[in-house]
Amino acid sequence: MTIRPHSVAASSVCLLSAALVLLPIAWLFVGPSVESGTLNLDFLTAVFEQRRLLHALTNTLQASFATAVCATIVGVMLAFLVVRTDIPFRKTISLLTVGSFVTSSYLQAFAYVLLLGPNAGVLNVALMRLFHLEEAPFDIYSFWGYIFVASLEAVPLVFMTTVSALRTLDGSLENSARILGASAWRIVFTISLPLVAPAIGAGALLAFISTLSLYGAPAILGIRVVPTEIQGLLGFPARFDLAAGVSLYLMGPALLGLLLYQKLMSRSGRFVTVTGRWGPPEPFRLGALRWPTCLLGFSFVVVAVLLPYSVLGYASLSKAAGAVPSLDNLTLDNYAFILRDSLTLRGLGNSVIASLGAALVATALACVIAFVEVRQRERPAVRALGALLMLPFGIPSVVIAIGLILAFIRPPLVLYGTLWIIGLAYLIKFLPIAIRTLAAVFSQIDSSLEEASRIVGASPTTTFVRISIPLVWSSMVTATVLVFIPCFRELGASIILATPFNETAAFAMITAWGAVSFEVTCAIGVVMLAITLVAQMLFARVRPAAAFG
Amino acid sequence: MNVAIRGCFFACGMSILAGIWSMSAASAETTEIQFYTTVPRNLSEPLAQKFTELNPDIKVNIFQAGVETVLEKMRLEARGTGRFQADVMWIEEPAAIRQFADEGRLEAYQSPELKNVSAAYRDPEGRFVANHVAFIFIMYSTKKIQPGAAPKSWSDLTDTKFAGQLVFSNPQVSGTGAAIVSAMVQKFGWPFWEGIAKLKPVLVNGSQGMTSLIIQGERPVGVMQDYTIADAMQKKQPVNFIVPEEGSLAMPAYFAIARGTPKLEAAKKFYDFMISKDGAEVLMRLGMYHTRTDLPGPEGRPPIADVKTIPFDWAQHAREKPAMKATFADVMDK
Repeated sequence: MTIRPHSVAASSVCLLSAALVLLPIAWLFVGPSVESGTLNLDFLTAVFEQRRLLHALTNTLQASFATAVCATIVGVMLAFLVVRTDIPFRKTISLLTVGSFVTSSYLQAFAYVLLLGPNAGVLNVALMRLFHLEEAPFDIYSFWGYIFVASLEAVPLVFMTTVSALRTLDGSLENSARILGASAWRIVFTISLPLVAPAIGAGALLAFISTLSLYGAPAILGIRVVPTEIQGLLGFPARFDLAAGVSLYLMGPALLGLLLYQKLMSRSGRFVTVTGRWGPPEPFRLGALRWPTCLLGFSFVVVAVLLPYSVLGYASLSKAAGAVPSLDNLTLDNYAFILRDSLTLRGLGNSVIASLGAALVATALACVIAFVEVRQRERPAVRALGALLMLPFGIPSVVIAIGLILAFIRPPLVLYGTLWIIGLAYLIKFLPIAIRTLAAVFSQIDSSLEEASRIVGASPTTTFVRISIPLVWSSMVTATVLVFIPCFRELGASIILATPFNETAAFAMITAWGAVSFEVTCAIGVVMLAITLVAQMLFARVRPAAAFG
Repeated sequence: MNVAIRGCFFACGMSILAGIWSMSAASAETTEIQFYTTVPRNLSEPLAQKFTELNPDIKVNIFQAGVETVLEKMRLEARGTGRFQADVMWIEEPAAIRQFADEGRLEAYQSPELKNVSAAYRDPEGRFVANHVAFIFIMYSTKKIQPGAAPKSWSDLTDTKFAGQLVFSNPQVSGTGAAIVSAMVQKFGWPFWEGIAKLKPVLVNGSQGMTSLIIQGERPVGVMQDYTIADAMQKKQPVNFIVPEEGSLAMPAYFAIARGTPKLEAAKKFYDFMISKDGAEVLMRLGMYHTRTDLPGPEGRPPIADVKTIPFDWAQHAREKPAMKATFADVMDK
């Protein structure tokens, strides 16, 4: 069965997206040659002369791999608890897990410095008193400390992709197993989880690649990884060529991960679970275990949201965060500052607009791209497209931003200095999240439904819009949320693309830290979390106009 | 049907609105000048406000970020369009300003106010002038360090009793951090940093994380700009400072007009203001040192001429920066 992307629309969407991604990347590499007038490939070899860059590269790969493993285990477990069991507070756990995704990498890492710092970390001090320890039990300034913080940031990616796949699961297979007398554990590990393997794989891949380009947490924890090295190369006097070269070597592992994933998924039809005989699966009834299991689910929320935000929230309500806690030290001034401060208000508005715009466009593009990618997966051109579109996710966003500046600072199209260029950076960087989320779900949908539509005479476009789209609607909402949130907190590109009037919330937050106070920075962080939670609740209400089934 | 298409339209609509918003905000009756600065916004914004108060027909739009970010951005702008998008700049990196001047990117302007500025802080041709100087002091947490136990000098920092207690700005990403590393290398050579490396300091990007780490007592000793310390102490955070015995590192903040700016007249007025008495008074009120010879320094601190400084060759620092970064990484790895 093939629905060829023969409609001009599908091909042009794919080509447009490819051009979008290629543009900034191409500028980085072709730029030096264009400007000097000769072919200049020095940046490729220059990297190897820098021993510390190679050291950083090994660090980055190890950390990303470990993070992907940790995040996948936790994310899949959480997703399963939330979708497939009857534990209480499922919605709250889900809301806060996804909400934790908005926490700026800087703030998350810094909150954990305050909690698990070896000298004055609140938790360390408490544990030392409680158990009469000589030394602090945890040291956040370590490689494992970094992996811990990075995992907290990556869990929502695995969680969301897995949740959206579990929601579209066909119940009939589980029911058959149940009737045949299989135990709940056996059903979970031999049927439910294997069936959503594409989504789990997609989540793990996203976790791996996003950690490759993570900047905030390693910068705070002083871990040497490629993104922090790249930042160093961009300082005065800047080595843009070296920075571009290092980014190129970062793309290698990202591509490798993607090829591995494509290979695993290539045995087509293996994961098809949504067919014409669709029935929702029954949740597993846990009985007496409901509450203990609920605590297990909440433990992530505690670690990723409650603990850091109690530290940050306390600081946001303090006059001086370092002072001895007392009632006199409490104040609402830090929040009042936000309401008075035009930069922060403008930043919040700009962030909402740019992130929402990028998220909606990304989801719309990804729908078409993911559909083509799944239904035409045997074509080499389609595979290459999939790989190309994945690249920006593994490139530090500051590098993407530099490419965009060079491309859009001069005529014919001057976008530098507008909010457009920030939205564009977000779109390029986070489109892969939407594509992977939707491709995972499309690969679960049997093409027989589309065939049926074609047989009764509907055109491919009508079939796509009326059959395929409604089937993946809930995943489209997921994709929109999953793109919106990282855009909302994005800093690397936002800071270098910022000019007066297009600053974003994250930019306002980070400049407040250096200039106004840590207390105000925390208040802005808390407001950003609140906005994200509200946005999630609003997104969850969006339903397809033409309900399916 | 076609919810997706509707979504697309919605997204496009929102983006267009966003574009219009950003454009309408930039077009007004008055002259607007773009002001790029590395001086934190709680200090640079009051100056811009005071200027607009005195010149209601000129509005100052500020972009403020760390030294390396601002310079990186200006380099990209110059590379893309041949000139800076900023009309005026105020930057705490003398080597970069000097290089911009050498490249002919700065407007030479003989402001009538220049004669009142200490000769050490101005270019004879008027291409740049430092109206403010920051001094790097040692900042420590009074929660964790008794006043007697605090370091007295730069060389005290290498004392083993500060193992696991120190925090520095990472010179790989922070301009200030890089200047501090070079200054110590010029003064003591690399053995200073080899000694520091043994104490396992935390290296953070920029001053943000640093101040908070000292305030919270997680890393109770660090080196920091005087105005940041003054700000924290004024907020009653549990910190204090020491002027190192060998002298402090002086970091002048240079003001300059970008050559080729279409807003030259407004830019000149801002130049005059930045080194004027009005400007200096704002700086003093904010606890910052100014460079005018006819006014006292900020309250409660020694006059600027009496602050002992260590000699520092900024040009050499700029030349050797890439090598310094590489050596620093190796030293910290040992």
